[in-house]
Amino acid sequence: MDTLRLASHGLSKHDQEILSKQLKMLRGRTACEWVLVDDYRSADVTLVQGQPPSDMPGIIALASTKAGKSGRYHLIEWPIRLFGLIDLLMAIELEWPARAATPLPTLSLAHRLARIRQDQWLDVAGMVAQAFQAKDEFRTTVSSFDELIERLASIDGASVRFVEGHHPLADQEAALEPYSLKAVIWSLALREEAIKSRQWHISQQQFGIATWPLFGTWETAPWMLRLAALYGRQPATLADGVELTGLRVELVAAFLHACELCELGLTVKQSTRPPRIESKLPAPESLLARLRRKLGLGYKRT
Amino acid sequence: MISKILFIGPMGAGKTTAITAVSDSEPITTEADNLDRAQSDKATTTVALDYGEIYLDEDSSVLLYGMPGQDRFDFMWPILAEGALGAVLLLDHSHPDAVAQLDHFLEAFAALVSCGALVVGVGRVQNSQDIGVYQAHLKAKGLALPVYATDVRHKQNVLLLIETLIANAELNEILER
Ligand SMILES: Nc1nc2c(ncn2[C@@H]2O[C@H](COP(=O)(O)OP(=O)(O)OP(=O)(O)O)[C@@H](O)[C@H]2O)c(=O)[nH]1
Ligand SMILES: [Mg+2]
Repeated sequence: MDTLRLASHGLSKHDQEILSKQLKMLRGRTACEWVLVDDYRSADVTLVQGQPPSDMPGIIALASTKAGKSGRYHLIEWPIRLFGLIDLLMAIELEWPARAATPLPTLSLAHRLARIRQDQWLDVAGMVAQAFQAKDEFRTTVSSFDELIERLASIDGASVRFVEGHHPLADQEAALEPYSLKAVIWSLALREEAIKSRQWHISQQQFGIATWPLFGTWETAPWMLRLAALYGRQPATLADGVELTGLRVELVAAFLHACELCELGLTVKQSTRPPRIESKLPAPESLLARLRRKLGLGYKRT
Repeated sequence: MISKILFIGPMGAGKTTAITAVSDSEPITTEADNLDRAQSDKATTTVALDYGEIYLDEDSSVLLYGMPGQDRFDFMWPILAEGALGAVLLLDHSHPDAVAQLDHFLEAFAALVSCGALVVGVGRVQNSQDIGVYQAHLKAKGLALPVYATDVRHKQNVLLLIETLIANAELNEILER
C-alpha cells in the first residue's frame, strides 16, 4: 500500500490534534496509508489555513468555505469534518496514481539512482540522502560505505522518494558523509539480479564496454578486472565471460549491468558466432599466477 | 623466466615512488639534482633508470623499470618496451598539460596500447570527477584502457595497477592460444 504524507500549515495546536484524531478514525478506509508529518517540506500533501508559502511542495489543500478545487488547490470546508476529510483524501488518491504513473517505480534502486539528473534530496525507505549528479556525490548520515550498501541492497526502487525543494537536513549538510554516487550505483547494480531483469542471451549477444570501471574508487575484485579486460578489448558473449573467469553467468551479467548503469558505454549486438574463449583460469604454475600469489593479489577493496 | 613492467610518465609523476613501494630489493635509482625545474619542481630527478625487482623464485622474477621522465630520454623507450608485460603510465593531474602528456605516451607506446597492456594512474586528483577528463579523452580515441585515481605513496594503489596489467596479460595468453 502506498503511503502518503500529510502536513498542516497555519492550524492551531488544537486543530492539529483534531486532524490527527480524524486521520486515525479514517485508518483503513482509504486506499493509501496516510501519515501525519511535522514538516510540510517532506509532505506529499499539506493542509493549509490561510496563505500557503510560495515554496510549499506537493499537493496543497486550502481550508475554505466550500469543498472542491480551485486552480491547483484542493479545497476543504472549514471547520474540517470527518466526511469532508475523507472526500479530500480520496480525491487526492485518485489524482495520485497519475503523478506516479511514470515507469520509475518498477526500476531497481541502482537504476533510479542512475537516472538522477539534478541535485536532489532523497528519502530511501526512511534514510535521508542527498545526491549531486554533477559532483558525483551521494551524502548520507551512514558513516561507512559497506554499511550503506548493505542497507540499500535490500531496498527496491519503488521506495525511493524524491523530496522537492529545501530539506530540513540541509542545515546539517556538514554532518553528512560524502560518497561517490557512481560508486554507490556500481555496488548496488553488482548485487542486482540482472540476468533475470535484462533477459540477455548467454551466447547470442555480444557485449562491449567503451570505458573501464573506476577500480580502486569503486568496489573492486580480481574477477572484475578480468571481465573489464575482456569486454574492453573486444565484443564477447556472456558465455565468454564465464569461460574466462570460471564465474557463474549471473555475476558476469551483473558486471555488465553495472557497467551500463555507470554509463561506461555498454554495447550489445546480436551474434551467432560460437563462443571464442575456450580456456579458463591461467595454469597455477604460470608466471602471472605466481606473480599474483607473490603480491598477495586478489586485490579487494570497497 | 624473466618478465618486466615499465613505469612511464612525465617528470615527477611518481615512477620512482611507485617502484620503491613494491620492489623486493632496495631499488637502484639514479637520482640527481633536478636542474629542470620547468618540467617539475622537485629536488631530485631520475637521470638514467629506476630499477626494482619482484622475486618469484630462483630463476624467475619480474623486473620493474622506471623510465626517466625527461623528454631527452625518449630514445630509450621503444627498446625497453620490447617484450614487456605492460606499462604503468603515471600522470599528475595538477599538471596543466596532463591530457597532452597522455597522448604523447599513448603514441610512444602504441604497441602496448594495441594489446591493452597499458594502465593509467592519475595522481593528485581531488575527487572521482577529475578522472572523467581522461576517460572521455580515451573514449574519444576508441580506447577502453584502464584509468584510475592513484596515489603512488600507497602500496595498495600500485598493486592495483600491476594487477590490472596481469589481468590483461592473462587475457592475452588465452586469446593467443
Ligand atoms: N600529494 C601527492 N603527492 C604525490 C602523489 N603522487 C606522487 N606524489 C609525490 O610526488 C613525488 C613524485 O616523485 P618521483 O617518484 O621521484 O617521480 P618520478 O616520476 O620518478 O620523477 P622523475 O624521475 O623525475 O621523472 C613524490 O614526492 C611523491 O610523494 C599524489 O597523488 N599526491
Ligand atoms: Mg624518478
